[in-house]
Amino acid sequence: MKEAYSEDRHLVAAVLKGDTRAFATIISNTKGLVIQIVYKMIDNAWDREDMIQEIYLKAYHKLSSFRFHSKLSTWIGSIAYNTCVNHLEKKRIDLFAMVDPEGKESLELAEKWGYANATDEADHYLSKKERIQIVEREIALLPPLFKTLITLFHKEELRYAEISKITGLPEGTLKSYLYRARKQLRDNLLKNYRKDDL
Amino acid sequence: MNMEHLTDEQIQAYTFDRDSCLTSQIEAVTTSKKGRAASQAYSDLAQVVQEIPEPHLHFDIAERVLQKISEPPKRWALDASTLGTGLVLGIGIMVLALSLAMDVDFNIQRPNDFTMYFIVLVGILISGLWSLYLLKTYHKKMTILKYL
Repeated sequence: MKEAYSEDRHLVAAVLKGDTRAFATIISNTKGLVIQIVYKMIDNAWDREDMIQEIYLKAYHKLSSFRFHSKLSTWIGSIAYNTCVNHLEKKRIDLFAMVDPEGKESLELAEKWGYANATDEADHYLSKKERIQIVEREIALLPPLFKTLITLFHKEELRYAEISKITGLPEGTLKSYLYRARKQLRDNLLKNYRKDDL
Repeated sequence: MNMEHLTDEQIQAYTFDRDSCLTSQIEAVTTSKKGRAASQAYSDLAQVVQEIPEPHLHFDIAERVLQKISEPPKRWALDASTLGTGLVLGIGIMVLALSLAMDVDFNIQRPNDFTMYFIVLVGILISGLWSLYLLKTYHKKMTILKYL
């Protein structure tokens, strides 16, 4: 952690002195997290691209206000999250709104999954890749906040404290939402794919 | 405690936050076949989530951002509320200083009507701006927390 903070200090100082290459390094170190947040919060592909640029421009111009109370990636993550929340508010999209399933790809996989359950699993074993696709698809149908929390916790492996700093949610609330998000994901998988062992 | 008494939240807590679980809760899950199966199902689901490929951009974001940056960031930055308060305070101090300069009989314990009104006005303005800022923040938090 101290090493990360030390690298952050070095990079921030360099950017404030006008070294734009240092900012490119910051982008390279943090873009994974930013892309995950934006992709989970925003559905529209065009909006996503603009949003990611906007987030980094904001981070660049606000960099002098960063006080090293958290990791730089967490701070940029919070800018990403708040930018997305503001965008959703403008578009009047609820953070808890379910996404309408388009269904086609999902149904194809569902049929396959259901078939695998109904018949001999050895013959119709669902591949690991297909299983990942199904879960990915179902996560995409969750409300923006839920899919973001699941991704930050399970995919990015952030701790509660870090997710709390990014989202501004108290840790208790965060845990409660994560429980609900996982339950909803599992319920949807069971409902749509009739799979007992997920 | 048997499986009938275990909630989904407790099973998830056992699976993902075992450190924060009570011993009785841990025992309840480990001694229950259904509890262990449910916990394993959540573990497997988390494992699949971890294996989902990360999204990638089809363009170089660093290059695009750096193209739009023409000057180094400011060495210090102010947010809107601090700037607003500073502005109102600045104007207040300036006008107060002017009124003091014009009023040779100024008495700090008994300020004249103009000074009094002005101090109150500045106070109201600052309180108003802060109230607006707090209300906005409160509204945003409540919107997020309303489903709790």
